[in-house]
Amino acid sequence: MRFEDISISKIQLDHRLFEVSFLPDLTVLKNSIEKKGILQPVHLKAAGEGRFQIVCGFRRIECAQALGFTQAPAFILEDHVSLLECFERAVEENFFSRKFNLVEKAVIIQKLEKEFQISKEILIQRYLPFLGLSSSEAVYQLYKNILALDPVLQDYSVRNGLPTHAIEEFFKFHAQDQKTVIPFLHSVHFSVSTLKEFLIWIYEISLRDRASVSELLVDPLNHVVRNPAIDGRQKLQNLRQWLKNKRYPMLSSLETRFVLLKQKLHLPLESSEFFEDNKIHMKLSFQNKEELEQWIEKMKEASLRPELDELLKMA
Amino acid sequence: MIHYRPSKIYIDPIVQDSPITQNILKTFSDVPCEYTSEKPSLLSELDRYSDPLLEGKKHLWVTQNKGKLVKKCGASTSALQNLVCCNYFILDFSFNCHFECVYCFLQEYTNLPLMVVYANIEEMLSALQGLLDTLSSSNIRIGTGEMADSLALDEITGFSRHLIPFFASQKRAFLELKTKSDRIQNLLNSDPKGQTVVAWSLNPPSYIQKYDFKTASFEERLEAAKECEKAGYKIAFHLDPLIAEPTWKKDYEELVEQLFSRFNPVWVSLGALRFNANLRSIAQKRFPNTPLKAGEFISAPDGKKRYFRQFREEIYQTVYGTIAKYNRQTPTYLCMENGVVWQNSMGCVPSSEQALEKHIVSAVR
Repeated sequence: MRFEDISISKIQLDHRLFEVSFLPDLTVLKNSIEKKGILQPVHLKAAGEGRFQIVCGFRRIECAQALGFTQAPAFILEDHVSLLECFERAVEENFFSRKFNLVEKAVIIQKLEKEFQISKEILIQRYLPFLGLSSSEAVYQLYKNILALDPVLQDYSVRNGLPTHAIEEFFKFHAQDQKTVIPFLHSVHFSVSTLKEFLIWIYEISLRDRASVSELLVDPLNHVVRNPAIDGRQKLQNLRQWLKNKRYPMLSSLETRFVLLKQKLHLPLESSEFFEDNKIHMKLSFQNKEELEQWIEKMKEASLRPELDELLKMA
Repeated sequence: MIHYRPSKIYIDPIVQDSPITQNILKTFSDVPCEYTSEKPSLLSELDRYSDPLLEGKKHLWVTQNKGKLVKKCGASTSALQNLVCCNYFILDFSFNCHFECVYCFLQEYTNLPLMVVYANIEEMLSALQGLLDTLSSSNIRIGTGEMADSLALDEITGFSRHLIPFFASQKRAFLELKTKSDRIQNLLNSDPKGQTVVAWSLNPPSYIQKYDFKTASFEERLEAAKECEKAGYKIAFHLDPLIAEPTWKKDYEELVEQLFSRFNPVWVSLGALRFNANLRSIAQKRFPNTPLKAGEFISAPDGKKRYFRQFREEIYQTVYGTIAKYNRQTPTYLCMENGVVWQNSMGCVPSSEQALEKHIVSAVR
């Protein structure tokens, strides 16, 4: 390996075989290069006729070029270094500067398989641990599925640091349905758990009702997502209520009826969680005898009303 | 029904002379076999497969059960408050099942996905005798169908040839063989003397097609039940899990009609579908398009997903009401439910587990 200052014009920027970056944040790197130049030489491989391919340093060259640099310090790899060895170096060099995101790991796995003809068995046994992953078929499949996701969903997953158990919920959706959920991601303020709940419930409703996800989401798309009068948090609240009514129609109607009846009785009544036991709970607070007597009066009145009978029957 | 055939057998030398082991080796004389007193090394490699559970089941481990051989049913230790227990005992003779039921809790045992047969039959019979010696009840029920199907492997292992005569020789306990199979040949050559009940877990035919893969079909199960009945066995049914498909009312009414027009079961249990939250994600991966999980499930206090209480009660009332129309005397009980659900569905709550136990066996005597 020799060290040289290379003219950036001699570098084949369109040759991306060894690139593994997805959504790189170039701000910090660009600032650093602007102030101090390229401190860590890039790795290049001779491509014939005095030209070079980038092995490691795509982001550095990109920043340098954007800043108007014409030269870059580089290590030139020997000709006998194979393409696979070059790729392994590219991956390993990244380990020293950053963590790969999920899509980048998926890209590495795909390139090893497609560009370097590494068998599935070798990938699982050797390269998954190399990337810090468990040596298992399930993990291999997970990363293949990540790469098959709509690019907008890949982008969303990486930007929001979604854990794999949340990303897996996207896999159940067909390409068209994946596109349908995108406007929801952009306008509703999901947490990881509420996003999972949204994806799981909408999928389960589609299975139960034998309807496509796209069909099901027309209504909330028009009335929640595209409603300019409400903010992202309110959209989440409205969407969850809509989903709950759709996913749990019987339970939701029971809960709605309970609320209506208790309002008529003017008492702070609560059902047990999901009505699992047959008791109605009531928690009162009072500061003096007068307030207590008012409660007693309200309870006496409530005990004579048909709404109480219905509540008790319901519980 | 799909028959079981392992791709490899592991034999623990300590049980190599057991008649159960000898039966297995005789049946699968052409299957590769390894003698090892350790856990099969395959267990540490199963992660490499896309479906470790499916791969694990191709391997049969014949060993001894070093734990408690006979124990009380999990209902007695459930976290659910006021659970009505029926005082059932379980003989752990085997672990895992080659059938693939979408809702099966055995899928959660990902640390031991092999098919395991415990071959220390002599110790099992001693443990059974020991238990019977300590109990004063005359209505004891002991089943083998908790961690495995009672009969799915019976032609291979021959367990029933040991268990049925054991129970036939005493009068205070009943053996229950609970199954979704039609493997009854060994049973037809034994005389149960009224002490063995063969019970089929059943659902409407279309549900079996959709959720009980590799098992005997509805008709195959009933034909096997008829054969057993002719051979002197008492027949029981477990309508468990009851699944709330959109047409559940009509489907279960038809199912009950079918059963009672052909049999006079000695007991029927009802249990609405329930599962641990963990099973939801496992089943999602193994059976991605199953609509099973799309029901109105809530998280019950015991951590299990169940239909919400009022809906469970409606299901039980409907099915029990239909059973009562055909035969009001058939002992019918709820599995893993609390007193509230019992009261609202069946109109009563058993006063004790002994009382329920006595009620359940009342039609066997």
